[in-house]
Amino acid sequence: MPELPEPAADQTPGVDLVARIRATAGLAPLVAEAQRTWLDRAAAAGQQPAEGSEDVPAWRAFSDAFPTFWEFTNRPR
Amino acid sequence: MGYSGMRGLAAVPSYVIMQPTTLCNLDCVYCYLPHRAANRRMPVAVARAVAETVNTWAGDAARFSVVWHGGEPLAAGREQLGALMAPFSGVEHHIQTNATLIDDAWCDFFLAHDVHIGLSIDGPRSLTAGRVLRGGGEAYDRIVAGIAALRRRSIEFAILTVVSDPGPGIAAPLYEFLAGLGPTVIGVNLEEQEGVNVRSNAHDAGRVRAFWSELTAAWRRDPRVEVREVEWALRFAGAVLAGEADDLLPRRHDPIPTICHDGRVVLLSPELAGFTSQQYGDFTSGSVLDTSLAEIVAAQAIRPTGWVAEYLDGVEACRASCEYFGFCGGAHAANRYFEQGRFNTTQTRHCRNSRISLLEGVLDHARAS
Repeated sequence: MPELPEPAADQTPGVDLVARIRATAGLAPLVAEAQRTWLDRAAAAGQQPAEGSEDVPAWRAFSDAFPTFWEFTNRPR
Repeated sequence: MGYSGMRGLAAVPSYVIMQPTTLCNLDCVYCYLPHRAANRRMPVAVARAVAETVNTWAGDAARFSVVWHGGEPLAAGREQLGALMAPFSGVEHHIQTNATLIDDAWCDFFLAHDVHIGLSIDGPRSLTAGRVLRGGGEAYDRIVAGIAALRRRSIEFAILTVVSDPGPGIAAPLYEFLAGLGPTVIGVNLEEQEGVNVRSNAHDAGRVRAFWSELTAAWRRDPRVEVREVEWALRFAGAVLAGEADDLLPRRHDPIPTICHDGRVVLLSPELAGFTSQQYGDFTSGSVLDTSLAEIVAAQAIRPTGWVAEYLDGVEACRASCEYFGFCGGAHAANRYFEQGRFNTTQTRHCRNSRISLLEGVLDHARAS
């Protein structure tokens, strides 16, 4: 008996977002491009994450970027 | 999935917001500030009182920011702003400005005080038409002149841009224009209904998603400038793919104290400063002229009261009910209050425009690419 293909994740906003994100075609290469961009930026600026730092490598620290970051997620760690 | 971040209030913030004056020399059509025509200036005694706490916090932190916001901070003048900055040590100063007053003398001031600059422009002349002088004329030429002064002096700046009517066909030319101004970062704020701005922010979700999708595509073609919203969405999406989505949010809410011109302290949402409500009073948690800032913040962190406690209940309601909680950390206090009149509600129009449609727009782009 042939295997049935896995049903596609429901793409309705608000429905199991994590499953929908994981099932989003084209997302992994887009994220990989973004991560390369962040690494390139950090290299261009000569930045290295501090040892033990919780900052995501190459993610711009709040203090470098925006005085108004409260507008987004409070403050990312 | 369940998210564990954003539980309660941290007792120590990572930045404070200072209001050196309520005055703004502009009268933008979407401004939320209630007293922007009045020149109520912060006395130096207020800055000294804030610095007593902040200098200690800064000494214990890798970085600590003091954000000068208004009104228009430059409307306070260099002498006054310099006097207000003087009591602080070991901090990074930021100014959020409309850029219209920036000239070489201000550039000298920024360099002397090592100030980080964030400025506001909404795109090319037609899109910036909502930013107007007190006499009614367009502010655009003065903003561009201010940016030119910064660039002449090689002073880095970030851009905040307000989009009032998000939809298809706007984002790509907007990004191209803003990136051409040479900022380090672009932040895109969809206009909010808050404060004295009662213009509705109800939009068709499909149009808003199309806006964010187009912005993602434009950034992807030419990612030379950081776009705050798009890159945060990609950071979250990447964390989901890596099974690390719960690591992204801060463990606790940053209390973000806003120090009003007269020393009163508003936590969490600077947009509430200057407002009063029959139910919630003036939204303040104390005054630095009576109580130390450390005590004011710690008291609310240990035992939240009033609207802060109600807001934290609302955050828990968001956590329990919204799939997007791990991305946004809960609807902002000011959006809850100004859209819905209380703080223990959940999803706001701002959530739908700037969080849900943002993430969905980024996913739409990925699927179409």
